[in-house]
Amino acid sequence: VTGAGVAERPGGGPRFAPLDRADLTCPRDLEGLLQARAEGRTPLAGGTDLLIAALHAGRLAGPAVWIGGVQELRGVDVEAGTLRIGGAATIAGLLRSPAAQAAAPALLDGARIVGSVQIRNVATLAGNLCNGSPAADTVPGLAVHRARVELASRDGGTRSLGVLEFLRGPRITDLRSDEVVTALLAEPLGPREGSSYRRFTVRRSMDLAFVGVAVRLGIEHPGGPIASASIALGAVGPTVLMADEAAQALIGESPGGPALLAAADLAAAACRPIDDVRSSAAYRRRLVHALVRECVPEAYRRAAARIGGEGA
Amino acid sequence: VSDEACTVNGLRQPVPAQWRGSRLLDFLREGLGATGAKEGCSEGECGACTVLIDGEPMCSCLVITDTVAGRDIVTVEGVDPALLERLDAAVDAHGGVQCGFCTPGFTVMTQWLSAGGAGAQLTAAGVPAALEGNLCRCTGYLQLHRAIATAAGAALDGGGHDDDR
Repeated sequence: VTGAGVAERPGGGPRFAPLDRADLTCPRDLEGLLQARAEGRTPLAGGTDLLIAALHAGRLAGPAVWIGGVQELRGVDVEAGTLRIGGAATIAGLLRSPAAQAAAPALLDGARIVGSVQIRNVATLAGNLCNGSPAADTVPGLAVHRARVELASRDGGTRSLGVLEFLRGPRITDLRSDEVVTALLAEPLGPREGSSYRRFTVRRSMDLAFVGVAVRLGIEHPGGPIASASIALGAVGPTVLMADEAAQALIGESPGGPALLAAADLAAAACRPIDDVRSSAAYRRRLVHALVRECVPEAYRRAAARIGGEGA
Repeated sequence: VSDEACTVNGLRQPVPAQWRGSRLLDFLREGLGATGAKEGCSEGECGACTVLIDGEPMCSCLVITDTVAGRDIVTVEGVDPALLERLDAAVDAHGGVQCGFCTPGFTVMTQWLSAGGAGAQLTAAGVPAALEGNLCRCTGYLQLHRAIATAAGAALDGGGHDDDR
């Protein structure tokens, strides 16, 4: 900075900015945030989706309220058997929590590969969910950890619903016009469980998933059969899909045998991919098959490691 | 307006009313004359506009100025001069610059890395991952990554030093 102070321009404001100035308020507490939402302001969290859309439109769609100033919504903690991630917690904030890493590895696998260092420092987990992208890297992890969305509004009080109910279609959520996501509540792994998320992209960073797969497994003992399983598929349907039949095929089986191929076949058959600029539907189906075959053994190894055994 | 001020490179800067609602990048460049941060892609992809906010790198094209009230901003103009000297020499030695447009963003990231931003035990192999949000369309990255690893004092583990010629 030159230290010359603020340049005055005729008419004021940025000269070359491609974006009209935003009408943004920055409340410091939840009460102020709920009030702003009741007045119809659009929630702006990290802005990594909303500001890019605004750039292409030349302006934000309307008056907005910044979520990030509400300190009480920024926390990440595990208490009373729940991983609670505040509605304003950034992806980087989530990744800094060792408790979250232990509780929900599949969620953190996804969080770690969102965007870039710069993006993760501003982007929020709740924002990644509310953006409603079928390819969101954190959503399959939220799904296998049976996350619930906690919502509040000035006039409607609070409610909560499961992530699968909250997501109603591509870019469509159940968020009401006056509501705020106050927290995401994920179920931590049990002592004999492991979870994993992997995606396929062409570039390692700053790229969107062709396909993402999350797997959560429970085992009796290291080397023993799979006791419980869930599989979530991202970017192969209007929202995240649960591959329940594929998960069922793993129960009572070892993670490396013919059951793994059967589960991969069932997951590939259950997904509903589309052709688009990133990938053909047929290729996405093959990727689901491949990623299930990678995630199941990884989730199993992690479960075994939690028990402290040798793994399979 | 006192509660609307931020700190830029150690100087307290009130945000005048006409810059409310603008992008931080515009306030820095046009309001304060700090033109080091560059506008590349305008959508958080290229990292040329990277600044540190409370010590963490962010793209100033994706930050609305109102949200930095009370926060501490470091732009490329505020990077530690001794580090800058080391980076200059390393970039020169490794051929890590051509057009220079991405250089301010990489320089701010070097400051962050040398302050331990990517973790205590930064290795040369870890440098490319830490710089995932910074694009360079000229050098091909290896030269830049080597230069930055050298300047930031990354432990040499062989990973960033394959010969690419």
